Amino acid sequence: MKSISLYEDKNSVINMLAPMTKVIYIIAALIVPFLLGSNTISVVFIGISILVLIIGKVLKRVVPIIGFSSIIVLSVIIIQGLFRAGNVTPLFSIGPAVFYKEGLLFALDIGINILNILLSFSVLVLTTKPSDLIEGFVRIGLSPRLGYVLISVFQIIPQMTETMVTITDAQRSRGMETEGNLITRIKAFFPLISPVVMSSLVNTKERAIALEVRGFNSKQKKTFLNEEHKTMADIVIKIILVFAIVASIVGRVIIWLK
Amino acid sequence: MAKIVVEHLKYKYPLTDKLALNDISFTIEPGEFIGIVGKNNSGKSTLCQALVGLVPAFYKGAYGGKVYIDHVEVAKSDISEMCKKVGIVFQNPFNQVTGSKISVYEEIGFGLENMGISRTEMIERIDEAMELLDISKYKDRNPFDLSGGQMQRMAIASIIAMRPEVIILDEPTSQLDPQGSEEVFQAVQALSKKGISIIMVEHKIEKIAQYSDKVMLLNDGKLIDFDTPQKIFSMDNILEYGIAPPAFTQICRGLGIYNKESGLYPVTLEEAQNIFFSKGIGGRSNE
Amino acid sequence: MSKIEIKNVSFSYIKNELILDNINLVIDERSTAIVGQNGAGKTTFVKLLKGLLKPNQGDILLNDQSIKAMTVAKLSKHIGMVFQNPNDQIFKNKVIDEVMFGPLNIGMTQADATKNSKKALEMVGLSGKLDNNPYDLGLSERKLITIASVLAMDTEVVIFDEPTIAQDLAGRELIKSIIRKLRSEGKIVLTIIHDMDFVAETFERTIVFAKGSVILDSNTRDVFSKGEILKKAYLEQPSVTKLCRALGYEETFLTVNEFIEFRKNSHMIDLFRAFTTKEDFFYDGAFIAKIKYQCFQLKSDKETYKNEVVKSNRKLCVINCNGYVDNEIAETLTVYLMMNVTVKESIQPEIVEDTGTLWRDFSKEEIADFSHLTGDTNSIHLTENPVVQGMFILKELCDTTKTNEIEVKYTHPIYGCNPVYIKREGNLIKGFSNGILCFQATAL
Repeated sequence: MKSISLYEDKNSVINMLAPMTKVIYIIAALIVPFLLGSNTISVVFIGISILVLIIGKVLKRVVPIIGFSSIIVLSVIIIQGLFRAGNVTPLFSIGPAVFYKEGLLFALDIGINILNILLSFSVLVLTTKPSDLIEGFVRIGLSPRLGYVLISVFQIIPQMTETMVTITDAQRSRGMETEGNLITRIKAFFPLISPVVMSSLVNTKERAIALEVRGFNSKQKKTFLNEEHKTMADIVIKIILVFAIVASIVGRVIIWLK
Repeated sequence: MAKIVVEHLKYKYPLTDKLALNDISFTIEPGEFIGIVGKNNSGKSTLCQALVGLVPAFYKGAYGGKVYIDHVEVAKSDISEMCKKVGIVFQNPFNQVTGSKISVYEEIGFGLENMGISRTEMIERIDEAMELLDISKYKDRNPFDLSGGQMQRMAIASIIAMRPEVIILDEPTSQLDPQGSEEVFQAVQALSKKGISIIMVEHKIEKIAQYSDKVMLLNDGKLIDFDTPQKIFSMDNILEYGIAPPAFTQICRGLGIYNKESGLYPVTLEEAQNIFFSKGIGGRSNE
Repeated sequence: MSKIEIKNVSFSYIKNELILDNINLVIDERSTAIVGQNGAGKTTFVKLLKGLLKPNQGDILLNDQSIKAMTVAKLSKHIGMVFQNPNDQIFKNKVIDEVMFGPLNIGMTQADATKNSKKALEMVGLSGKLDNNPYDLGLSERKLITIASVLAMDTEVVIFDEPTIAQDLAGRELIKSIIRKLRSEGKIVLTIIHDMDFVAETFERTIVFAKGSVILDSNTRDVFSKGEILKKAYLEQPSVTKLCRALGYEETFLTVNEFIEFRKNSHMIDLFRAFTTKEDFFYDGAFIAKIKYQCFQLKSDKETYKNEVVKSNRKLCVINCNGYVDNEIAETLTVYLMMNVTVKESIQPEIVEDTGTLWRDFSKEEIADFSHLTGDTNSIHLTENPVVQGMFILKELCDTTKTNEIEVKYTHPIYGCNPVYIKREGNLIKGFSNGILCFQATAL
């Protein structure tokens, strides 16, 4: 049983970077364009993200995500292009439908933002081990217990699905029908849900005890088996990104003061 | 070296009437291999939990008496502290996998991270534990990808890495196939040879007879007897306590064959074989 | 009689990774244990029988009907399976409701379901807990509930998946008795199990799986005799088998009692032979009036025998036959032999109404075997040689009473192959045949 995550180890430079670096990147990618109110900067970040994804050899995995979001973006384009209040300048028309410039520009705005968000998150999610990410947060102060809860979800859910299969088998072999009309399927609900819940509770209790006897609730400050990701590149990138964020805050203030 | 002293231990689970442990007292010397036997609900698991401190800390309930491990009173200590002295392995291998680590190597290090051990020492301890349990070849595997026997050995390694002087195993082979069982018994024997005290609850009576220095018989929460396997399994009324002696012992008893000096019956295959040969029964040596 | 045929069945979850490779089996009415290492294909095999998986190749026939097309739910009317983990199944909050779930699903009426469920719960010893919440009961009791849930469905086939895990002695004996009862009702019982001792004590047939194939399939004794093959499959022989092999016996012993009986019998027979062959007592008119056997220590093939005539006149001869080990008496046979006495058949023997329970219905073969063993090759009827009869009854009584000291008085011969009944009165055992008191035995 493998854990559920989108991560794949491509052994690239990007994989070597600390998770925190990528988190800061996301913050930068979202805040800087927002504060400076510029779509161009968003596009710049989109470009950076795509570049990073190529270096990380995970660009292909992004395609389905983009594909999915483009459906949303397309609907936004259609609705805003046609019906947005304040649409005065027609740009082109398809049959009887007239697309207006204002609406289309607005939709483009939204599209760029969505793309930026998706790509910057993809940089994090596709190149980082979930356990490393959570460990990164724990290193900077996240409660280790919360960290454990978050990370164990990835591993334990596939286990639960295996249990669900066994439970379904057990109930089916007592004559419970699972195939058929809606009523049949609804009737199958309780004999399946109850053992799932109960066995999860039992397993969770046993697991909690196992954790307990391995010092999980110790007040001691925890150490880390893994080496911390701390390359020159991390430090440099972090400095650049933080600088960019600070610069954008300053820039915002200046604009505001004007 | 950690000596275990239990004095008048009594315990009742919350919302129950019956005493799960009823005035139990015994001493276990360092380095001993102790087997605990008794019918279901005789208090074996509860005793194990009391030795680590889960009773009363985790299970609450009414607790009386004292349990000392290496002169430290268990009930008054934090489990996180006790786990450095005494470790425990349970029946279900799956539920002992933390689920937060993606390799066997990291999984074994989980307890060490909690203890705040330095990184270099962690690596040393994990390597040592994997070597002892013969699972070094699985170090990069996902913990959930192991067989039952391998998973139990990983659980034992995770506990061993914390370097306790006492390890308790509560029916560790119940859910394993014969090969997995054998792997666990051999691993535990290796630990025992290193001087770690072992306390094992098992239904596989022949194995308990084979590996234990002493056997503890529990019934209804009471300690009935605590003595060598030969003594315990030669008890005339042992069936009353819901336990059948090893098959070898039963055969010898049925044929009236026993050790003339001690007046006790053999409990292992080797012992039985030797006694039979000395009486002139059977003649060919084993293959 | 029900029958399951597995014909050329192969199965794999992923292409090119064959879990089961061309399995051919016929499951008949013998109770069957399925053993093998984890990963050998046992669970997959059983799931195929239950219809939870469909074979990639081959077919499975239940009573000559293919089950490939049947849904699991429909098949569950005929084949029931007790899963390993009760937590994967229990969902009602009353034991009786949980057990009735299966029967109601397969179409039993409320009344029938209730009746069967109560009967099933009685079989597992939970009659007093019908209205309890299953989760208030311990794990071993929850396992019994899942067993009852399947028994209540009254299927022709019952499959158990590791029933003895975490069970103590009482639990294992209960499961043994359930399996025996199902077998006696004519149901097919199949069990996946790791406990070889339990297999040896309980199952008539054992099938060994290894790497997706069946490597051994025979009656249990035969399978456990093949130590080398079992070792390759990472399996061990039962403890008793191992000990007896280590002692040099060629036969495969399965249970403790079997071996004990064997040792005891072989000794008694040697003693009898010492008695019958040392002196020639097989002449007309001799019969045993009383015979006494004492066993002090059963030991040694180094036993030597010596006969001692204690008293001898025309009508009565008393002989002590002693077996010595290291100059100590290990066992003694004292025979009171009546000779040259005419049996007056005209004496009206007392015909008793209540002759107790049926004890033995001796077959000619049994008697012939015994006679042969003790040195008389002619008798096949109990009546033909009263001396042989006297010893045979003694031996059978020893087996029945499992005692080390017994005395038998014979008052009337047992004729032909008539069945023998016994009635116990305290220490006394009275034996009757045809309503007539034939012997009285006192076991000490």
